[in-house]
Amino acid sequence: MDIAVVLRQVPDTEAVIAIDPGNPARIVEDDIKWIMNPYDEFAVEAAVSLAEEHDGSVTAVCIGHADAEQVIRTAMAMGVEKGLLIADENAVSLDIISQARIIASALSAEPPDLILCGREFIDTSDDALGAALAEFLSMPHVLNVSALNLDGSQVTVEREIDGGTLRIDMPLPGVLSCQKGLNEPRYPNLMAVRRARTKPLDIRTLADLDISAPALKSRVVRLALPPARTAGQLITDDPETAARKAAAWLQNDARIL
Amino acid sequence: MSAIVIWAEVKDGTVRKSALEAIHAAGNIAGDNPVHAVIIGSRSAAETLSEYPVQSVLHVHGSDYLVYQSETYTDAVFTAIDQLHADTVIIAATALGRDLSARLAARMDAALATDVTAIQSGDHITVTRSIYSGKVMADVDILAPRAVITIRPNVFDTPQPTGHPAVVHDLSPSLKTIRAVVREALASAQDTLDVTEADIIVSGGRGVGGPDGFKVIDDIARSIGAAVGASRVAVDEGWIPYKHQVGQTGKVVSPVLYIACGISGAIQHFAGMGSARFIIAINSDPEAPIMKKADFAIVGDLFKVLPVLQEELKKILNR
Ligand SMILES: Cc1cc2nc3c(=O)[nH]c(=O)nc-3n(C[C@H](O)[C@H](O)[C@H](O)COP(=O)(O)OP(=O)(O)OC[C@H]3O[C@@H](n4cnc5c(N)ncnc54)[C@H](O)[C@@H]3O)c2cc1C
Ligand SMILES: Nc1ncnc2c1ncn2[C@@H]1O[C@H](COP(=O)(O)O)[C@@H](O)[C@H]1O
Repeated sequence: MDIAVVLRQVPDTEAVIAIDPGNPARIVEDDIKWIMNPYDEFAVEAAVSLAEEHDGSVTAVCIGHADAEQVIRTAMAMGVEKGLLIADENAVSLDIISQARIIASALSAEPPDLILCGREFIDTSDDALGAALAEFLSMPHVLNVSALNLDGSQVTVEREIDGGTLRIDMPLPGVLSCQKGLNEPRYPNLMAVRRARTKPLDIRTLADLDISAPALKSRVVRLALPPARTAGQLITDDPETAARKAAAWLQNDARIL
Repeated sequence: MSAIVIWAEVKDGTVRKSALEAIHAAGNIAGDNPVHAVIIGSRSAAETLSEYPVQSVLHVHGSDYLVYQSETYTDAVFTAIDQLHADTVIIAATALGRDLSARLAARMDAALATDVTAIQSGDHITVTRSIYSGKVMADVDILAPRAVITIRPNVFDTPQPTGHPAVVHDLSPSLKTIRAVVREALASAQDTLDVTEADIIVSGGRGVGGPDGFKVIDDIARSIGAAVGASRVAVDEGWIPYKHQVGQTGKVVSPVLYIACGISGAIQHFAGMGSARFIIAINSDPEAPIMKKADFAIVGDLFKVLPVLQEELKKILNR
């Protein structure tokens, strides 16, 4: 069984984001620490444990700058066998639909049985990759999977929606996006990290892959930080007085009751 | 732009409020172009929808559409878009709306802008959306000839009924074999309000101390019609399900009022709720970061403050 897992390198969740004074459409990247997109960890864990149980092999695919190699190596330390890094400046800044098209093209020569990705990228806040990939590869998909069981050539998954959970059977090949609750991503030990350094990684440009760069579909023109919040009233009274003041504030100042 | 299509999601037999918000958002950019609605559900839901400012309602129904299935619903909405020669689609960014919009955008080879909080038209359609999970707002120009835009629920107004119902047409898209089949729909244990659609959220963190502590949170939330939120710590401890998590790896919310109880206000949590109109924090530590960002910061034990607050609010609400 061939499994592909799609990854992205994103700023650490601790990162304080600042806007580049020289270019209001960009953030300052100098001091940022980069990590694997947190949801991708669930996808890697799912891929690796399925491969272990069902004798499969996992390939990580990533569109990124050259240093995104780091997240593929991390995935390799978790058990992924090989990697494809599409390191192409023309691809990195594209919108999610175009990136999905590129990844679909890269995978289409030998389509995997199962493609896994994270629920959402926490940098661009796009949660469309899985469904778009599936559409381009004419596969079915299920998003936001929080439980997964492989049974022969189909998977049974659970997917949360507003107000409930759906249990869905999906035949393979297909695409799943993974979210918290699905598993506990493993911490690779030192041996695994060392072994990861020697696993095969293909680094390609779009031209190498014979994929033409799609036209720009959208462009970020301006970034702004949300209005800074300043301290309001600090209430140090006893609980009764504090609660009464809060109720009065809600009614008279905030005017929301 | 030629025509705009909105997809109106039906939940428990009725048109969701966020679908009406999509009609309003479409009106913001439509100019002289028509806005049409596609609805998959009962005739009466379609008729309700026709009372709002749309040119026509395309109504899909039948036993094949009783539950949401990504592929059949994508086919249905795509058929409508094709038939209406529409180039712009607006959908509320609910769980199902996000699912549908992504597949649809790929099929249309459209630009996709998700979870937008503002929309304008000029030389291009320009949308505003939060990125870095709420840490930054981005204005994005749509350059592609076709666009799929999902709007964050609870941000746009709902339009008034027009008084002149729009025409309702039946639409029967051709059906392909469904691959990913929904076998079972399990309703949530208790039917709680979703944090992304609530005007008021009462949230608990580590300070709540355990699953029993969330009963106190739940109690006040119920009595004022609020949703229950949580920090990642509370979720990771297993005190409350993940769907309640607010923050960078949970849900990004923008309610009118956010009441943070026993939550320190870590950067990842704040990213998810920093755009609330008002924040009340209840924390025993006056130095907790949230206390410097709240409009109303109560230093105290949440277990002592919340019950009194609940009584006070009830008094006001019952008046
Ligand atoms: C990759 C990553 C992603 C993350 N994503 C998220 C996310 O999406 N959402 C999120 O919330 N966090 C997220 N975090 C975690 C975040 O960094 C914090 O650890 C977390 O938000 C802290 O939760 P807390 O405020 O409940 O707990 P704490 O920081 O421990 O704060 C508890 C607070 O409760 C107060 N308190 C204790 N007892 C009482 C009492 N009886 N009455 C009143 N106050 C009391 C304390 O003074 C303290 O301020 C993420 C972290 C990482 C690394
Ligand atoms: N985050 C990471 N997780 C696992 N392996 C990594 C990571 N980053 C780098 N590596 C691998 O470890 C090598 C560097 O390790 P070191 O020499 O300890 O700095 C890289 O060349 C990668 O092969």
